[in-house]
Amino acid sequence: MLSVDPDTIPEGSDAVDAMLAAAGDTRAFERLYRGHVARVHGLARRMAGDDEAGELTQMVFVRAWQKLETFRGEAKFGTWLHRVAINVILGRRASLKLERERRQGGDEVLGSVAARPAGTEHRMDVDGAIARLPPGARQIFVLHDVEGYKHEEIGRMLSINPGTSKAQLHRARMLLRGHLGR
Amino acid sequence: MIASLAALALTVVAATTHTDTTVSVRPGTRLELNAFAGSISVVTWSRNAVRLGADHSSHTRLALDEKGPVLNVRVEHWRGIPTSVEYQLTVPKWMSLDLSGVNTDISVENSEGEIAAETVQGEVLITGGAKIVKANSVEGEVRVARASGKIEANSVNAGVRLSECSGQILASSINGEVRMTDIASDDVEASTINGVVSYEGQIKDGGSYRFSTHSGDVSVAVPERANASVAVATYNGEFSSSFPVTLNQTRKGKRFDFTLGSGSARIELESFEGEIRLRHRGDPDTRRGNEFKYEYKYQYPMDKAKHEVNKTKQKPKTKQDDGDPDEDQEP
Amino acid sequence: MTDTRGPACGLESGRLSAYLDGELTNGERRAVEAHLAGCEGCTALLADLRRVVDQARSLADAAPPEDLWPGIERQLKPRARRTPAPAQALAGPSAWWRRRLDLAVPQLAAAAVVLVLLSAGAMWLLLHGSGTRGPAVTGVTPVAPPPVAAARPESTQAPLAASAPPASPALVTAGNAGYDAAVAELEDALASGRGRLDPRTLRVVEQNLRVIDRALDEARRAVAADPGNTWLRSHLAATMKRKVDLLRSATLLASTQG
Repeated sequence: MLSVDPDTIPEGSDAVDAMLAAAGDTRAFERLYRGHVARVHGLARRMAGDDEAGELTQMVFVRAWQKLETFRGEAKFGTWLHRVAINVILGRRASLKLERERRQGGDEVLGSVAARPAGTEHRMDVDGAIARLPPGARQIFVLHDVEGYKHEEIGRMLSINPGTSKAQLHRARMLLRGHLGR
Repeated sequence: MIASLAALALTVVAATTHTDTTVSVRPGTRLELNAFAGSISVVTWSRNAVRLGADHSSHTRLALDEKGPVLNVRVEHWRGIPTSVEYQLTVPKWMSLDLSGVNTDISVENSEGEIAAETVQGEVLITGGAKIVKANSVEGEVRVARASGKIEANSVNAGVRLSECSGQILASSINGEVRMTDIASDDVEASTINGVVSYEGQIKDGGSYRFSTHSGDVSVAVPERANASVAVATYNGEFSSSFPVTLNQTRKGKRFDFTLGSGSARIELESFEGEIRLRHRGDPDTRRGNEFKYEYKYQYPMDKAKHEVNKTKQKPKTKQDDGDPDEDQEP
Repeated sequence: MTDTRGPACGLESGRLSAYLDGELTNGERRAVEAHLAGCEGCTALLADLRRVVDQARSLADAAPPEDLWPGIERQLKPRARRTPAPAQALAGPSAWWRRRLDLAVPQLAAAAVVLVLLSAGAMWLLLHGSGTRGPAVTGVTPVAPPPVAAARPESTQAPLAASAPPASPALVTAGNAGYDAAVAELEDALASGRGRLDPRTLRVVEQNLRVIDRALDEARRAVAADPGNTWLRSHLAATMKRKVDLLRSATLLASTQG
């Protein structure tokens, strides 16, 4: 199978495949999968970590299949799928959130792991640095700075105030800034 | 010939060379080869090694790159102008193959691995293949024999032939025919627009078989004791069967159902304009069926009046020139 | 250790993030800019924050290391029927043929065919065909497109089958219009990538598109002449799907070649 660059798939093609898939055509759905899996997996990985990314990605596509009839074609399929992905990922995260916060314990983790003498040119991989953020700040950073959502939307998704979202975003940026090379 | 091959004639003095390299491979390694022009011919052996033989321009370099579980045949063309390469590969029987090309004929013999073979202007001939077999061409013929698993065979402009295959089968063409013989599968779908669809094989209980075409004939040969619910649909065509058929159809339109045996499997025979023929496996296929020929149009009193009226509006039927009506008589 | 606290100059560092994101009022923005002009610490911090954001924006996505599709495919249940199929109305095995899942026409119930068409734009048409539901067919209006801004993917769908009137032959072509729009878009995409396809291949593709178009033409006319014939509609839909498949393959070919 030729591997396909998602940017070369014409938009109408996605819309047609979505229609076919909504009628039960799994081959059409597989085409949609191939075109969008990278983005969904990237999001899952950054929001939830490498270990769960694969399983979350599968859940996202299965859920998308179930909800295909709600895709009306007004937005791009990728946009719609992305929202499904966020719902799935956040839904899953919520139940594990408490457990993780207990384990990670906030800012100190990033501080101690990343401690370097000032002036070292050490450059931490961006994804690696994001992975070390505390979960709340990480989610908001990924949603805002990586994925491009606005604070109002993030507030709705996470059930928080837009103001809280802004504060957490800034906190994440501050934690990251020292560790992402010059 | 494609433009770049014309360029080849200008740039390369007829110096061709032969590459012959063998590398050993770990079980589970997959072979990838993306060709441009020429041919890919793969045969198998029982060694855990891959032998790459190739005839090509002396300006072209070939190499075998191992990247994790993939063994990739890399080709470097002079100044990036792709030239014709005739690949002859000998690979382990178990090796999965991912072969693609543009103006490339592809053939694979006696493989027991997964196969994906895709070309644009060439033909694809595969014997063997297991678990997943995908054979696609745009212009050329596709032939798959003795494959098992999930099989997809498609051509756009030419025909597709499957023989002695089992597993889940999907075969299609647009301008060509789809012919299947000695099939042992419980899930078959074959369709074309302009050609004939013919099938000869098992009908397994609980299986699903769909054969459809727009302007060609559908000719299906099944075992005498097949258990199937059969749905036949055509608009301008005719249906004939060498099975005695009890019609239990109650619906309007040129579509009706009947049952063979216990009705366990599902068979759908559809043609917009062509003949639909259902016969016993082993009987010769003739364009006009023998004993039980149903002019189904006139079977249904409620439709008769309507059909009388429509008769004058119907277009003349296009006769499909088969050319080889006896081909399907092999059991 | 990197200082995660704000600068010592008195400016609350969160302001800088807000400034970066364009969230300040004009007055606030001018105040920050004035401060930056005289504060090296904040200027450096702003540059740092900008770097973080730029790096975040340019993160690339890669496909997962292993193919997740088989696991997903296993979990895809066949489409649930929204219109309850009174298959009980038909005796015997003849109802099974409706459960075919791979057509562009969702399940054919005895009384209704619901064809939902999506085009790349905001418009969608609802086509509701009647099989045996009453002889009278009145004129039909396509459902008006919903306003784009209000659409959210999770919003409950409008009850499609409930209020749509039965079809008329004219609707067959109206329904095709929506599908044709999607096909037209694919054809445009193919046209723009056309230069990259080998001329011979392009000819073959175009010849075969014509083959399908002829078949579509015949099928459409047949449906128009016999609108109650549900099989004809499904044949038409299946043929349309072949065309879309061919266009897609050709477009992909054009985009991966050259």
